[in-house]
Amino acid sequence: METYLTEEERLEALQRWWKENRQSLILGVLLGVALIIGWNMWQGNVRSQNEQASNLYLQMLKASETKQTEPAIKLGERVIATYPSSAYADYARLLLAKLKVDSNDLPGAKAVLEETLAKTKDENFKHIARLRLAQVMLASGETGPALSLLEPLTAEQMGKFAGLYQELKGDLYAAANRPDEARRAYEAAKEFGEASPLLELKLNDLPAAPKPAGS
Amino acid sequence: MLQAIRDRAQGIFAWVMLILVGVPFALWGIQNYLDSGKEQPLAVVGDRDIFEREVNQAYQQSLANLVGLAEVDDRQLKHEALERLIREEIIAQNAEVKDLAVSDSAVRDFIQTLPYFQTEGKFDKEKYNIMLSSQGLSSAQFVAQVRRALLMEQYQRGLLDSAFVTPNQIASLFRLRNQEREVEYLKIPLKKSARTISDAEIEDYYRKHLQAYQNPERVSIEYIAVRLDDIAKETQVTEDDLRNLYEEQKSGFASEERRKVSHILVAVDSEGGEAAEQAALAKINQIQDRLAKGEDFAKVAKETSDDPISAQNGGDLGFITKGAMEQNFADAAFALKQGELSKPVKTSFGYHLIKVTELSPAKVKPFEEVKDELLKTFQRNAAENKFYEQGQTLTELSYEHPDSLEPAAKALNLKIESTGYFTREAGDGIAAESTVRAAVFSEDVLNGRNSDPVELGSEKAVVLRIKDHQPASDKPLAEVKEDIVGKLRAEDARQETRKQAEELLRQAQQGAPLTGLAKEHGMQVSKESNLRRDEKNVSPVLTNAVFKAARPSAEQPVISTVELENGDQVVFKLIAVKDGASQGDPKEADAARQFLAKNAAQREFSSFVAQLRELADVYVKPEAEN
Repeated sequence: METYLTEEERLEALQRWWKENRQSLILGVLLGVALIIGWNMWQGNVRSQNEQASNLYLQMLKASETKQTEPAIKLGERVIATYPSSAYADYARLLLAKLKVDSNDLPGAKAVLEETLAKTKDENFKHIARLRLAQVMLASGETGPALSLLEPLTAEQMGKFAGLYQELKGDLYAAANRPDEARRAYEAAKEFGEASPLLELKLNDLPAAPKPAGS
Repeated sequence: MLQAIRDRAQGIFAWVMLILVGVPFALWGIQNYLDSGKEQPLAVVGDRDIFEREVNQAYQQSLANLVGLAEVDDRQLKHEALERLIREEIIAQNAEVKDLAVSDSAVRDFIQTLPYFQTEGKFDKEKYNIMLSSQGLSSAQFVAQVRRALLMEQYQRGLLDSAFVTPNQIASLFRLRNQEREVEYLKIPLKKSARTISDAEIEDYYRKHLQAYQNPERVSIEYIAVRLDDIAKETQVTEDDLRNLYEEQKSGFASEERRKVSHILVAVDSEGGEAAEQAALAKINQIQDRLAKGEDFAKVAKETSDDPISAQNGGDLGFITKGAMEQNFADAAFALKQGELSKPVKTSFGYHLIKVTELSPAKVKPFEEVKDELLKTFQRNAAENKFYEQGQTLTELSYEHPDSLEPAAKALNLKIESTGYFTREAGDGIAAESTVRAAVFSEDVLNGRNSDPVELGSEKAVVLRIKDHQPASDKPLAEVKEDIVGKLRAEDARQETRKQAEELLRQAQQGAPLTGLAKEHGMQVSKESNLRRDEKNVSPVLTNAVFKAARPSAEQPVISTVELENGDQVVFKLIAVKDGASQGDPKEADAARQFLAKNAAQREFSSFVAQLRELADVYVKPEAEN
């Protein structure tokens, strides 16, 4: 390592160092400043994008609330097209599915929910989308495909949605004329609490169970 | 390397480096010292701490909502408050992660629609500032709170508002709810049993059910009570004391001067400028002339006054005090003699002519009139100090002599009072107070010691001890024999009825028709072709059992028994299930849709939040758990 003997030598070394490095230093500082400004602008841009998406979505909610189905659907489609990667696209899709169900367009609702299931990055949203999708499929008589959507889920995957899943599975089995499986699913749903007001009625509506052996 | 740093650690350059490096380190350290006294959070959600005071606030809110309802479990309520805060925080953080946003203008619009900040339906900036500062909030803080609330609302509505109900679900609701079932049944009335029951059997039952045959634990107590009222009554008061108090409180007994006035108003149009002013003045002068000519004031007022309410009463405003009116009006009114008419007086309403119709001068209630009131006040004030002192003495002496109330009673010159027997659950007199009973049945007191002082309201303090304690005891067999015989016979009767029902059920299941069985045993078969869930004429227990039974099929008839509330047994055969029409009228269908959608939305959302909670990074302090 170098050692400096006097103050002058040190000063000189400093000046020399400055001469050699000032260009890269200034460049570095400028680059840093540019980065900070760029980052801030980017952030601001993201925020304002989100705010715009939010405003559009709120308009959609309002239209849906006041039963203006057509405009609400249009607004929803605009949210999805304009801000495809924001969370509002997911929200818009869910609401769109509801609007379609309410106007008796089950295939349309199904398509939207399938899209939600495929596109959303939020696991919990996937659960909601899957449950609603299976409900729509049940309504349009596609019990088989709906069951194959739900059956592969393990208890762990279902998590806190298990009660809802099991009851829906019960409905599907009952519709597919598989009463024993339906009963098992309903019983399972009962154990998770939060049962729907109809669960007990549905359970009692099933045909008699085969006599258990030995009684 | 270190050598090099040391070598260079000289001169200005080195010092600058040292300071630059050193400052953050120094401050880093300080923060730790400052932090050490801070309260520990009850729970941590992600990077946000939840403190006890927040939980208490939330708890107070739910308590306020529950006022007047059944007794609430404090711990439970507090735990729920904490859980609610955790859930809210999880939702808020999740909304943030999702980049949900609320624009400034949306926040502003929302705030401006809040009625608290409005005067006459319009946003009032001043009111807004006053309201916020009264809450100790800055505008920025409040806006942040509103923004957060709106974000959470968006988050919730995204799930709740999009929940739907398929036509299929509505149809199945109607199908199930309006279902009718065809059933035939025979009723086996509860048998009577007159069997003689052996003493051994009775004793056996008695031994097995001793719990049910207990005299409850009872106590009687003796106690000393310090009562504010008693102390007050004994307090000696001299005439001088009262006179002094009277002088002190004189202003409280004084009434202000009041005058009954009538007026005539000529309003001035505030936008009319000088011309309107002149017109009004001319008009009031005219009125004044008419009155001067002797016209009746009341009549003129009715005709001309612009104050419609008083005009109807001939201008009468009733009694007024000086402070209640506008300065000019008050000055004029209180300068007049009774019956005298003022000159035109200008106020912000316009011009007035004022007449005083009655005087009620200021006066102070004389000492004699308020003497009783003063006596009470004086005694109470004096007694409060003494009450406090006596309470202290009572506490000290009953603590120093835990085995007797005598010393305290002697020192305070109070009687030792006593009660009759009472239980943990109920008592009379002083034992009617649950705080008293709680004190009596505490471990120390049951062990023969004096209780701690029990305050009953702010005016009574009690120290008590056990006089007699009767532990719970078994009721003697002789006393309960009748009861046991009755119970055993009832049980017999039920058993017998049940046995017959099982026998009939077995036969029916083997194919015997119910009508045949009924005839054989002299019973009746009843039939309901269209039993509904809400049928009124059939026992609800039976209806319930019929609707709980599985659907019958050709190869598998459904026959079962059920015991009614009165012990009668019913054997029933479910013949057919008739589904309800799957479509109600549109109005009903709409109500059903709303009901189901709301229900589905809530269940989905609570599962959603529960799942978030499950996966979130939440730490709850062990003692706050449960």
